[in-house]
Amino acid sequence: MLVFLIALSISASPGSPFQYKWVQLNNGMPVLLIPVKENPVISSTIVMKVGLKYENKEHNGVSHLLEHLMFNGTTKRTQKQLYDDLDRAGCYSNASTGDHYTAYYTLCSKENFAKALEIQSDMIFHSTLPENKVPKEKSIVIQEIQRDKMSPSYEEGALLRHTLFPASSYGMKVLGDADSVKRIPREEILKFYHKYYAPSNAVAVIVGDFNETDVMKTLEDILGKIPAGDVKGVPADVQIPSSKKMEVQKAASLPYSVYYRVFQCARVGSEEFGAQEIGVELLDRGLKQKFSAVDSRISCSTVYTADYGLVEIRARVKDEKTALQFDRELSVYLKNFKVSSADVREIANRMVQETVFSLERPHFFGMLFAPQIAAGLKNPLYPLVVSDKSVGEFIRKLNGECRSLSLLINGREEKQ
Amino acid sequence: MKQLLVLLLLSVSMCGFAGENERNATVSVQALPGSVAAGFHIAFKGRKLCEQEMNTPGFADLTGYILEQNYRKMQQEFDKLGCELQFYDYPFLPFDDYYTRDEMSFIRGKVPNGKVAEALSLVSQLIQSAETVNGKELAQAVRSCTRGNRMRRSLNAVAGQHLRQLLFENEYPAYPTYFKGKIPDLMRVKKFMRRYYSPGNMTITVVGDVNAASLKKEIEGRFTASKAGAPCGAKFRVKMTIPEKRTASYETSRKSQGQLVLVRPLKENLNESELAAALLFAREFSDLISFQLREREGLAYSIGAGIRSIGGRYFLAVSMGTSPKFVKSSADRISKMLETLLKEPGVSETELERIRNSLLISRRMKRLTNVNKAFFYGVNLLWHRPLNFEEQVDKSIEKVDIGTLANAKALFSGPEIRMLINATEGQLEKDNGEKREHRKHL
Repeated sequence: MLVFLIALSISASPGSPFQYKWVQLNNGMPVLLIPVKENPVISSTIVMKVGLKYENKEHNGVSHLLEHLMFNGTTKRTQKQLYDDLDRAGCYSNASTGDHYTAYYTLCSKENFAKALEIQSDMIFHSTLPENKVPKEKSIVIQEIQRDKMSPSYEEGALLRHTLFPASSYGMKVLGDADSVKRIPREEILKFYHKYYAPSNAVAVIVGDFNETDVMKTLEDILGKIPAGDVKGVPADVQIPSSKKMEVQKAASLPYSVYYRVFQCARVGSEEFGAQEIGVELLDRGLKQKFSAVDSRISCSTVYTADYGLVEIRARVKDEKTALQFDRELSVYLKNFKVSSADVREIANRMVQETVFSLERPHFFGMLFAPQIAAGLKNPLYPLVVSDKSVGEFIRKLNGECRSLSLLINGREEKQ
Repeated sequence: MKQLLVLLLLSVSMCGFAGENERNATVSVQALPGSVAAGFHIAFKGRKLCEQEMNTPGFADLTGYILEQNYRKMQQEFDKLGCELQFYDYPFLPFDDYYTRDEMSFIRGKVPNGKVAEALSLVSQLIQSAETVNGKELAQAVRSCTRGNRMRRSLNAVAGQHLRQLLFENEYPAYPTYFKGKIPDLMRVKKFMRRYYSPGNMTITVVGDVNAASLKKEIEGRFTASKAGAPCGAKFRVKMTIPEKRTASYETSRKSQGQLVLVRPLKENLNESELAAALLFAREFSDLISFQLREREGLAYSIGAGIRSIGGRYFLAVSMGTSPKFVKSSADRISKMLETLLKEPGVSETELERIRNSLLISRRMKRLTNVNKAFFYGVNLLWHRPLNFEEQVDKSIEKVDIGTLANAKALFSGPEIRMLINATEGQLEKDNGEKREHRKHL
């Protein structure tokens, strides 16, 4: 029972809304186990800690293109065999790429879990990225880019990224653009794959109706035997520009104008993380009540990667004058924002409840938490250990201590 | 699992189909011990029928936004219960293949098992308070509803609306799904809401680790109107017209994106076993076209085939998102591939096992959450089908053998209707370079 000797001791207490446990496989790969008995299914999410972060301008989009190519064949399966085997095991399979992670998801009946995990592992760690598949995957990705470009939020997102991260790879787009995707040679994709895809750069999340002893044996047999590799992440301290005056960016093709206030805040692994998440939820609720006349869908949210944490307040505004007025009113609102103990407990319970809801679809839990897990999240029940004092401290920091930026993305005036 | 099924069936027979009259909501509660959370679904019936009758196009859509605005105001109370609501065509619902939006709109929610009654009591208040909407709030709802909603402008939505108009002309499925235009008269909105959101027009389904009998009673007491109303009625099978011209082309402002939709009506009144075989055949065809056109040739960013229900009829529906220059040629190729597959002899046992397992996991994935189970139970109540209809179809799928699947091909002999969105055939000649690039990897 070697696996239990090396099991990490981080786990939920018996009275928790759900149980979880971190373990480590023989090759060092960390695994988060969450038993859920509601449906007879098990999901496996393998999170690779690589994404846009490690890209350059020349080959922007390589992480996402690689994610696509992973479904094209392995050292022991052609693409057809890969698809057929997944189907035969009754296995749902999907993937997503973000700023600092690429995650692969499977879901299958509990009886077929070992088979599904073997196929997933084969795909992730033994892909061949066949040369004759590269052009068609590029074509699909370029079509995805064209489709995304039609959404107004595409230009909005691109301008926001560019303003926040002018000198970092995070300032680029995860999908890249048509030119950069066309430019990426297969050798570059292979190099990227071999450099970052190894158990030492991965985390697995297993959720569903499993028996712990059996599932650990399966995990060791399939994932634990893969050589760990030696991927060394490159930590970076990414800082957003700070300005007291509202910056204005023109966006000729955007059919509306949108205001952002962005704060540099704590990262996922930090002590402040939980307080920050609850504080942002409280602000989101408060802003929706106070400023619904400005924008009924005004929002306050967080964005995390391994290298930064941001709080973003977003509101669609009529024009620059409205934006300036809102900017002033927002500052006053934040200054006077009070946190009550009851509110903190209520939000904490709601957040935990949302996590419980996500466990009904085991693969969805993986999709939801992959970005935070790649950024270092250890305790999925973190809201339960947050004090109202720490939430108050977070709000206080927003009023002056944090780097912040106000930005108006000025589009065409909306037709009423 | 067997125990759960028995309990489920027991509670079905216990609660059964509640009597429907003009004052009370139809309520069904299913106990599912061991659930991590409960889910509920409130369907407002006769959506487009009601709109058509009252000449209020898209009002169910618009008033859904009014309900959502009110939810934001009441959110703190819902939060205290740990309850999360979703409205109307909330994105990411995996139910497009049911096209239920023609027959109903809805509020659905997730809630801790012990808080269902309290949550539904709040929902009841939320619905009642919506009738007090004022001019300012209505204007805000119109703005939220008409601007920036990606779903309603998607090419699939455009194709779906045109398809309904082609097939059903003046019948309710052809009536607009989404609200468009200026702020309507407040009194008309209120009149619509009084009728559409009356308890007698609701079907409420709940699934969770709950006491089914007592909860059902509690909900029925909560969703009762003081006086009888005029529910929107129900009409689930309408006259279908096969258009003379079977290819329709449309242009949208999103010219850089193309979409094609091909449909074939299946024979009327499919039984469960025929439906199961049709679903398997559609999956076989879906795999075939997606592997060839997407995985081998990279022509599609989205592609698939399935069995859809519109206006009470089942259709084989194929959809593909692609570049405008490949719309027409892809439609031709898909038709040809379908004809070929229909003529081919049946699949092998191994191939049938592959198709079956892949179909079953995708069907079961839609019913993992209790809120989704409640959704399906609601649809089944609405369509007068057994509550566990989906489970029955799954069992039929497990029983389909090679012979049944081969025989099912006869179900697909109906005429084909094509919708081509933003097709630019002329450009095919201009883009030879890219065309060669694609052909090269056939």
